[in-house]
Amino acid sequence: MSDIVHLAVRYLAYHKLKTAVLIGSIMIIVYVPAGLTVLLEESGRQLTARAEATPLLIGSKGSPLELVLNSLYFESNAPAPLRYVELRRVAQSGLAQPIPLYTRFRTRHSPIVGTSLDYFAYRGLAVGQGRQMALLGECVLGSEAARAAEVSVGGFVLSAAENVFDIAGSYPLRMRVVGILERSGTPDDRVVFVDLKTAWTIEGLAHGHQDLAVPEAAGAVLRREGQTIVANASVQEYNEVTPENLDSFHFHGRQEDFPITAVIAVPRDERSATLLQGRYLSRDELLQIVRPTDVMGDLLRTVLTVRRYVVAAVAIVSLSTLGTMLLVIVLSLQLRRREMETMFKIGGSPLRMAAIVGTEILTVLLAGGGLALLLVLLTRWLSSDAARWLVQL
Amino acid sequence: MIQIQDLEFRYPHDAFRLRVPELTILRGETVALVGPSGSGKTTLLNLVAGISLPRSGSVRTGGVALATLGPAGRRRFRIRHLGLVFQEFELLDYLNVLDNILLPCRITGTIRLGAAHRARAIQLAEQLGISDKLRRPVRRLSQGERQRVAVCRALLLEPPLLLCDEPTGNLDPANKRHVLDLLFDYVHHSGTTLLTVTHDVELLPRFERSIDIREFLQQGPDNR
Repeated sequence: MSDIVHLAVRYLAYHKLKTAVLIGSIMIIVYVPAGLTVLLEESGRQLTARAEATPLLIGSKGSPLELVLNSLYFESNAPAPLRYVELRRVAQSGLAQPIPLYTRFRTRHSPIVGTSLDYFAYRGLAVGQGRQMALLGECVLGSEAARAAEVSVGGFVLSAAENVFDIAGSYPLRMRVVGILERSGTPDDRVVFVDLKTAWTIEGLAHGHQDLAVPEAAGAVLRREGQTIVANASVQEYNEVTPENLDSFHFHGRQEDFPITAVIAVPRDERSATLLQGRYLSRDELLQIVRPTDVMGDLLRTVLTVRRYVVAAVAIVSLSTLGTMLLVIVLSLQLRRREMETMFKIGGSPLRMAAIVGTEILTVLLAGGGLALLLVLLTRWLSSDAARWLVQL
Repeated sequence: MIQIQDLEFRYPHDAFRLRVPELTILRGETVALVGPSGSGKTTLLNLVAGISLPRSGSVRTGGVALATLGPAGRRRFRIRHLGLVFQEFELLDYLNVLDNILLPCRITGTIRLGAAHRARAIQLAEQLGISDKLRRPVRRLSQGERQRVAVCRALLLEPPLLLCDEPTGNLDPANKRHVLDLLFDYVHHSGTTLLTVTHDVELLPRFERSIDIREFLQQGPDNR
């Protein structure tokens, strides 16, 4: 047996290019459908798991898919905002616990999610380093977000400027990192979490600036009309909340009207869920309520249909590739006829010669299949990012 | 010993016909088989080796009527009793020198490759001056070196009968002499029978006997 393997391996090693092409072909034939299946199954599992952990979502009317993808994975474009008062409406109904989400902003590397502390408790997110956010301007990072920003507790992250050409727009806010979450293996790992008020500060709904009542600010004051002071552009606005300037931060407008992008509604029970859904069925209703599992189910059905087409196409290509490989092997055997004759003349057994050729083919198949298996395992290992990849698609 | 009696051979769909009424080569005899190209010298070697079978008549090689053996029996006979040196060397390009010499031990289940075979292969390589190239792929050897590898392969299992098809046809005079010296030295020490096809008339004095295959042409006009 070792002699057969020895001769087979020598032959394959000598014909490196041909062997590599055959192994590569086998690898692709095996890997593409298997890898695709693994990738889609894992993606589906992740998508479903996240959706199942989010019973109901309330958002402005529009694409349910966009609402779900944005609220669960923070990747899609932010849906149209709804007013913060809608959260109170849910709370007052007593049917569900509402958790706000405001996902409009980003840092350079990660989405910024404005929410309440209820979100962490609901998702089971634990602070690994530092502490939970408590003051305006503080943030807590998911583990991957911290790694991407190369920042640790005590460091800072900066919100990304929305439009650098809008000189009247809000400035990027420098936020202090007070905690880093333990890895959860969910999209939360990639997020910079802030309090809802901090998110509104990024938007410019709250701001802090130098005290215009003190004499040192007189140069910036244009006029005083009772309680109202009109200042020029030289007023120093703060782009970071510090213990010293915290008191100067204030909101303009009514909090009830401030924007959020979604409300996660955690119903007390199935009956409450049904009742809550019923409240958003009116034609005049400007909001929608969706079950993420239903939305993701529709998406996965579409994906699986596409997968069937892809697998069918791959099967056709694989058949033609196998045909070509068969032709290569047959031609190769014809070229080796003289070699076989020599072995036969010396006294070699045809069975043994067939075994040598068979071992060569088996080696190629095993090598190609083995490489494909490694790739499948690698795909499975990397598939934790598959859901994100699919969402980005 | 080789005994041929009333042999007739022809290829299918070919007018070629070889007739050998009687031919005896004694054990330990060194015989050169000469004749023009296409006269049937290689065919006769194949018949003696049991690679081809006669249409009629008998060929006894080493006292064995090869036609009475089945294909497997003839292969076993060849591997154990015959050393073959081919005109075009017939080495396997994807193997190195040592693997080519050891090839007879690797292609049959009846012989188990062992340390003794390796030692014998190395010894033969030393005798033929190619021991420093044992790990070299045969495609990187000169013609003379390749032929020496082919001779080593034929002598590996110490066969009692050596059949050579122009073993020195592609060699320069020095290599030719070297290879022949080894063959004759081996033959004389082991009592091996040597039947060699050659076109080189200068070599004939080294053989005890030479047979011109044209002698058999007189027996039939369509011999080749």
